[in-house]
Amino acid sequence: MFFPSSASFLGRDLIISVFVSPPMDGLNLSSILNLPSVLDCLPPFVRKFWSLPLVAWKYVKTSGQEFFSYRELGRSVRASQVNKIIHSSCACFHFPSFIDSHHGHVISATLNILSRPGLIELFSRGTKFRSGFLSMLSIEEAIDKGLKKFVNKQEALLGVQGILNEWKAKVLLFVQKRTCASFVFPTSSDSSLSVPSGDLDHLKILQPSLGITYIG
Amino acid sequence: MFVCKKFYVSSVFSELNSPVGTYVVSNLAQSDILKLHLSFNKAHNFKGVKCGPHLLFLCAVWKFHKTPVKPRFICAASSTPLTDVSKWLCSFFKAMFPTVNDLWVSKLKKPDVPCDSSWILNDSTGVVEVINKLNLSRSEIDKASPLLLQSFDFSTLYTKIDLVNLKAHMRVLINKVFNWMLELHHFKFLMVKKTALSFRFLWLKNKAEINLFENLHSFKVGEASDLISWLDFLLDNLSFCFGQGVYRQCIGIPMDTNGAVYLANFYLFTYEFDFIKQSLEE
Repeated sequence: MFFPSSASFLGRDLIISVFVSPPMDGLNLSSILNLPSVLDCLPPFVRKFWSLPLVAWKYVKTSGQEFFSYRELGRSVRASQVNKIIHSSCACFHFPSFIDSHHGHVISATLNILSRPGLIELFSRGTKFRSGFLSMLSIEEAIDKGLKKFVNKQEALLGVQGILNEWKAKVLLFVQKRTCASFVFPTSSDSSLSVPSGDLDHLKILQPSLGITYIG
Repeated sequence: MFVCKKFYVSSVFSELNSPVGTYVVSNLAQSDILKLHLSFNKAHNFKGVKCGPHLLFLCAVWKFHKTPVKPRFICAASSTPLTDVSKWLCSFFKAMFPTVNDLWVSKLKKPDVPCDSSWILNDSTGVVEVINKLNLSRSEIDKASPLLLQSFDFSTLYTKIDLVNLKAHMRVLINKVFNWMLELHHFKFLMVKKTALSFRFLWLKNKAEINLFENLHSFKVGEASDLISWLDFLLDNLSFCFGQGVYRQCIGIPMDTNGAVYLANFYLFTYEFDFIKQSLEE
């Protein structure tokens, strides 16, 4: 077994977790890490050299980055696909009320074209809105993933596999407790949004025929 | 906004093949162009790109305030090899801006024309300030009746600027700014320091003064000839892609690229400055 010789051996590392929804802020993960019952789960020789990890959120893509297709059309589409798009017939007849009378094609900034309330709500939040639910992770899964990465790194430094398992399980237990509480007493959920997966599937049906871009 | 994909692609293609000749198909392959850009970056100490590298790509957004709705063609310029060159040039232009204003004010000082700055504004909020200043010259009786205010806009500016002319005008302006600082304060170099949160600049008399600054990664020093050579390279290499075809813009500057607004403003400024100079001489 490897015994670290100085307090700075482990250093102060980061737990980086995907930020899936605003209640994550209410969890106060940093305070969980500082709880005596959590710290007690650390093996004594690790605790001696333990520096409280910092918590950082990794933000998911914005709605614009996720759904806008101008990049795909400009950069990724192959020349043959471009020719195919030009020479195929368009699907504007599916959206008769959104056809621009001058150009004869769909050019619209009206969100009703999306026809699903969940999608309309999502797009009405603007292009910078971060739709965390798209990561398909629950809060616990996201934190578990971040913790796993952190623990693996620390265990590699210590040269002992599984030594932080108990500590990790305890942290997750508190995360679970607080997550339940935060959903019962939500802190601030103005910016949270859930869109049914059926609505997202509907968007996938629209995307081959409609380009989604900014207003100039 | 939502647009028919076929119509979107057709609109971009008709812009690319417009008879005006703004764009031409590049005779170099994308990989060769990228190699050229990367070697320029290396030679002039500009940052490369972490992922990619890619060229700019053309996209269209629609102007809903026009009837009928019109497309605006812009170049998405993030993460290209020349993005860093363009960003630094933009920062240097920003640093030059106060001196450009000083040039204008000094030109009008001799004939005793009251003036604080040139007509270039940083944003639309500056318009109110200019109007308030102009209104000071109106008498109380004049102020009783409302004054008709009109605004004018270029229908097409960026894609009409002749590149040779732009380069020549910018060369004159950059030299004028640096000569002015040399004559007044013996400053020969311009240092720009920028981070994500701050922007600062300093005129220097010699390069030895640079050693006083610690963070070597977030600042750049240039003299007039550096700025001119960076700008010339940038304007000679306005290549972009669409649908994996490579094109070169030979008239005008691509909209939405870093520094494009400063280039357009300074270009128009040189004409105004020459007009004022000529008028005063007459």
